[in-house]
Amino acid sequence: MLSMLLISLEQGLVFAVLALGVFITYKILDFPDLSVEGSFPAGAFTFAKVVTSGGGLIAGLLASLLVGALTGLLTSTIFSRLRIRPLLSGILTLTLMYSLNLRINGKSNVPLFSTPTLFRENIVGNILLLLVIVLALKFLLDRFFRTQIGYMLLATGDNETLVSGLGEKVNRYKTIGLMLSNALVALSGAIMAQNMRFADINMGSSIIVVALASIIIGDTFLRKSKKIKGTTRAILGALIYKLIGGAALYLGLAPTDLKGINALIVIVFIAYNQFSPSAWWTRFRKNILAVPERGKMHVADSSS
Amino acid sequence: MLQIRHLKKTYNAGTDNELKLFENLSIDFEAETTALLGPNGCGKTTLLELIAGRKEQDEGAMCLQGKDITADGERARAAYIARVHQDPSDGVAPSLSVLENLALADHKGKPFTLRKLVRKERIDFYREKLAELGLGLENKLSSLVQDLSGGQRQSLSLVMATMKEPRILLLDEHTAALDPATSQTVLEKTRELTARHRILSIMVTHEPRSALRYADRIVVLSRGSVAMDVRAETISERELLETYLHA
Ligand SMILES: Nc1ncnc2c1ncn2[C@@H]1O[C@H](COP(=O)(O)OP(=O)(O)OP(=O)(O)O)[C@@H](O)[C@H]1O
Ligand SMILES: [Mg+2]
Repeated sequence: MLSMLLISLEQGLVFAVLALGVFITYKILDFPDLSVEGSFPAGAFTFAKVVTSGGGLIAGLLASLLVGALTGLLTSTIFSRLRIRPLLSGILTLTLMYSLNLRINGKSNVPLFSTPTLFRENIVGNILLLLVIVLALKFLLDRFFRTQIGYMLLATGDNETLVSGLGEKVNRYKTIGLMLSNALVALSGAIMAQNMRFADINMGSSIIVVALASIIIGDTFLRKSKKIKGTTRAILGALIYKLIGGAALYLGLAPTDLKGINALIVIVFIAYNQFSPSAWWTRFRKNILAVPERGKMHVADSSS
Repeated sequence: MLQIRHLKKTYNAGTDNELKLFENLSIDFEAETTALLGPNGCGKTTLLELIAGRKEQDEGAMCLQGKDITADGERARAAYIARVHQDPSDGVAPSLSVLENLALADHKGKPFTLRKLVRKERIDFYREKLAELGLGLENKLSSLVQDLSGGQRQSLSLVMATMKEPRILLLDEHTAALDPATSQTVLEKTRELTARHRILSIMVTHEPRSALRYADRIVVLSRGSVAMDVRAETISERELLETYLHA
C-alpha cells in the first residue's frame, strides 16, 4: 500500500511536468495541441541519445528541452504558415516525429541502466527531488505569466483582436506558447525515461489523455476557489490522477486496463464538472419524488 | 489628413454571393469627429476595418498626412490607430483583470519583453482615467473583465483605446451597448478627448441626435457611396433623419 502510494506520487510528479506543459496550450492559448504525443518520446529519445553517447545528465535534459521546443516550433509553423487547423497541425507533427524519434537512436527501445539519471535507490529522496523540480518549474511559469510576453500569451488565448489591435503578431505568441509547452513535455518525457530506465517509441501514445485528465481533475479540485492558480491545479491534477491509476492497479486491475481507465477518468471528471449537485437534487426532488419546490405552488408542468 | 481614394471592396468575389460593397469611394477625414451614418449592411464597419488595415481593399489608396499608408498592414497602422469595436468583448481580454487590461493597453507601441507588465506607479493614473467616466470602475481594478457588464467593458475599451493618444480613433457604435446616461457620459468623454488631443475620430452611430451633438461633421453612407456630407451645425435633426431614412 505504501509503496503503491510512493510510486504513484513519484510518477505523478513526472506527469506534473507534462501537465504544466499542456496547460499552456490547452488552457492558456486554447490551442488543442496533439504534437505532445511526439515531443514526449522525443524528449526521452534525445535524452537517451545524449547519455548513451557519453553526455552528462544536465546536457541530456537541456537537449530534450531544446528538441521539445523545436517540435512546438514545427507545429506552430505548420499552423501559421500553411494555415492548417490546430488539430491537424499537431497530428502532422506527431506523425512526423514518430519517424524522427526512431531515427534519433536508430531503434524503438533504448535501455538506460548504467547511464546518468536523476533517480537514486531511495524513492523518498527521488520524490523530494522531483518535488523541487516541479515547484521550481511552477514558480518560473507563474513568474513568466506576470511578464509582458506572458500577459500577451494570456491575451492571445483570450482575444486575438485585442492582440493585433495592440500592434502585435498573434502567431508570435502562439509560437512562444507552443515551444514552451512542448519543451516542458519533452522534459517530462526525458524524466520518465529515467524513471522507467528505458526510452520507448510507444511511451507517447495517448499521453495527451493523461495530460488532459490531469488538467481536468485539477480544475475539479476545489472548483469554486478562484485563489488556486492554474499551474497548481495542473500539478495537483497529475498527482490525483496517478493516485487513482495506482489504486486501480492495487485493487487488482491489469496494467493493460490502464488506458481504458485513463479515458474513463477523463469522462467521469468532465461529467462531474458539468454536474451541479444542488441543481440535480432540485430536479430529482421535483421530477422523481414530485416534491413541490419550496415557496412555490406545485403546478402540473406539461412542458417537462 | 486621412485621404481615401478610389476604394474598391468586393466580398466573395466570383461567387454567387458576390457583394460589391464599394466600387469607387473617395473621402477625406480631418482631425475632428466625423459621424458616420448609414443603414445596416452599408459598409460602415468594413470601411473602418479597411482604414485599420484589418481587411484589405481590392483597389484604392490611403494617405495619412501626405504619407502613403496603403501598403501598411494592421500592425504597422496600430501604431497610430486605435479602435473601439461594435462588440464590447472585442476590445478587452475577459479573463484578465481591469488593471491587467489597462497595463496591456499602456504598453502598446513598446516591445513586449520579459519584464513585469503591471507597474504599480501607473495605478493612480489608471484610477484617474477610469474615474473620469464616473462609472465606479476605478474601484474595480482587480475585478476580472468577464465579470463586468457590457457597458462597463465598452467604457474600459474606450479608456484602453485612448490611453496612448492615437492619431486616429475608430469608434464603431461604441455606445450602442450602453444605457442612455452612461452613453452620454462616454460620448462626452470621447468628444473631450478627441478635441483636446486633436484626434481624427470616425464615429459610427445609428443615432442622428448623438451625431449632431457630438460630431463636427456628418457623413451618410449609402449603397457604397457618400449620400450626404455636411458640417454638423448646418443641419437639423429632422433633415438628417430624412436623408438617413431615405439613404
Ligand atoms: N467577412 C465578410 N464576408 C462577406 N461579407 C461580409 C463580410 N463582412 C461584411 N460583409 C457584408 O458586407 C456588408 C457590409 O457589412 P458591414 O459590417 O460593413 O456593415 P455595417 O454598415 O457596419 O452594418 P451595421 O450597421 O449592421 O453594423 C454586409 O452586407 C455584410 O453582410
Ligand atoms: Mg457595423
